[in-house]
Amino acid sequence: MSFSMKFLVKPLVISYGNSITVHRQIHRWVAPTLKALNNRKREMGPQPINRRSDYLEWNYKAEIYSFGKRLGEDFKEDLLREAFTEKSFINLEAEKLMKVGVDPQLDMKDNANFSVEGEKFISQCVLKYLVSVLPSLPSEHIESIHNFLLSDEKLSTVSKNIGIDDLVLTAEYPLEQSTLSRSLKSVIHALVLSSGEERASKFVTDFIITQLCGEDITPLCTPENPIEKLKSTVGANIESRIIVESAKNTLLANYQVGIYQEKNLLGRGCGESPWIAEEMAALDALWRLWGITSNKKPFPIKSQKIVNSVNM
Amino acid sequence: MSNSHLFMTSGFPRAPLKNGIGRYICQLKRVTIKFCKNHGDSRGIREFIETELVDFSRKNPGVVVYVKTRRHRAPCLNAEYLNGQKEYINCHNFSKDEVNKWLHLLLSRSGKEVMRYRKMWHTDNPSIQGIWTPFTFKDPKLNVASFPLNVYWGPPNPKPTATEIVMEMFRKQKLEDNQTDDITINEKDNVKSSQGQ
Repeated sequence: MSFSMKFLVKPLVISYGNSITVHRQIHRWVAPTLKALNNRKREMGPQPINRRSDYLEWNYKAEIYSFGKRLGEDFKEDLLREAFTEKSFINLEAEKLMKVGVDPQLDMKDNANFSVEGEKFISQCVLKYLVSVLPSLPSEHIESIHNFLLSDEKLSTVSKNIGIDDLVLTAEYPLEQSTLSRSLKSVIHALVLSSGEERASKFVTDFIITQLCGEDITPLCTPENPIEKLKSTVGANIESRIIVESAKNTLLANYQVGIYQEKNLLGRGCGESPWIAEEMAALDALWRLWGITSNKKPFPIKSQKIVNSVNM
Repeated sequence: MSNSHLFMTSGFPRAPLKNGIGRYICQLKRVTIKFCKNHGDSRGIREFIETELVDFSRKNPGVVVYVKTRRHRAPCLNAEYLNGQKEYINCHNFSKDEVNKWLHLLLSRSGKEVMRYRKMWHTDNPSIQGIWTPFTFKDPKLNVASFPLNVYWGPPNPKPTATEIVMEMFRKQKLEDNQTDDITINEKDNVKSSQGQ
């Protein structure tokens, strides 16, 4: 309701009878009016959600300028505009012009090229980083962490939270995850073109790689058959031994198994049967070898040396 | 906790998008200042716009500032955050400094709704030594032990019973008595030997 409460309330009336009484009540018309309005609203059904850019206080140029400043980067304006323009938006504009009867010659470029280039750049940066901070992790798991970071879900979260969602020019609304991630990739390519690869790779580290912080990466680094994998990594002369067991032959049975090689403990794991526990122990051994145990140090973000060549 | 906190959500402080691990970005993306050109309650906000708004905008280029006049309507600040939340502050009869103060409050917020903090910190991994298992701190000796073990019977640090204390006292006394007997016997022996000399 856009009108103030003071218009709905009757003026103060003080009547003197045997005792002083004060009447202050809401007008009789208020409740039926509100009911009628509510009914009309319900009959109209769900209304389309307005974009932020539909409102009167919207200055696209100012928004684009402060988008760059907010992130601490200097973008070239035309590049950024191109990065935010979707193919569907250009089609929509052309259609509008066609309807009016104007020849649709729009000199706008969409971000298809930018997003492809941007994706290549991000992927290169992420791979470089992962190889340098997890040197002993096999390449297939590096790749799965890389795919996790470059998934539409992760990229669209980043994209939304740095304010891209209001700025994208597109036909559909609310935006899909793929659109959001595509615009983020294009923005990164626009940054490469405006301020160089070094600043852009810093950008990728600060906004995309930081998504790894606090994330459990062990599910991404779980081989199908851990025992076989361990044998192929350290040699076949590994032995499994039950370290402790309790509640045998009950529903709550649990075993702890250690995997040894030449009397050295490689890893230990728990499970409800010795075979599950052995598998967990093999996984634990592998994670220890790869340096991704749960007590490992957090990923270095601020100062880290990135290897120059990627040997994938 | 007061009554106004009853329906407040509770939770832990979290930074949006791991803000600050990489670089810090101000979460306020745009603010709309709405005011009336001639109503008295907008006086402070008008003064603020005349004297301080340009400086504010220069200092914070990442915040888009819109200024909107509305005839004979209450002045307000409308803030929008990166997480999509909006914040509204009614600036009725605010002085210039008050407007400045509230605007800076909006600037420093994360945009999450105000919540009651259960703790002032948060961690995803509350345990340093790892998840507890039935075998944590278990003595490895027990693996090869044959049960029953007499060591594990009874309470861990039993105090001596009254009977035991009395028996102990009796034993000590007996020992002392024996010692004194020995001394007297020795003395007698000495006397005998000296007589013999």
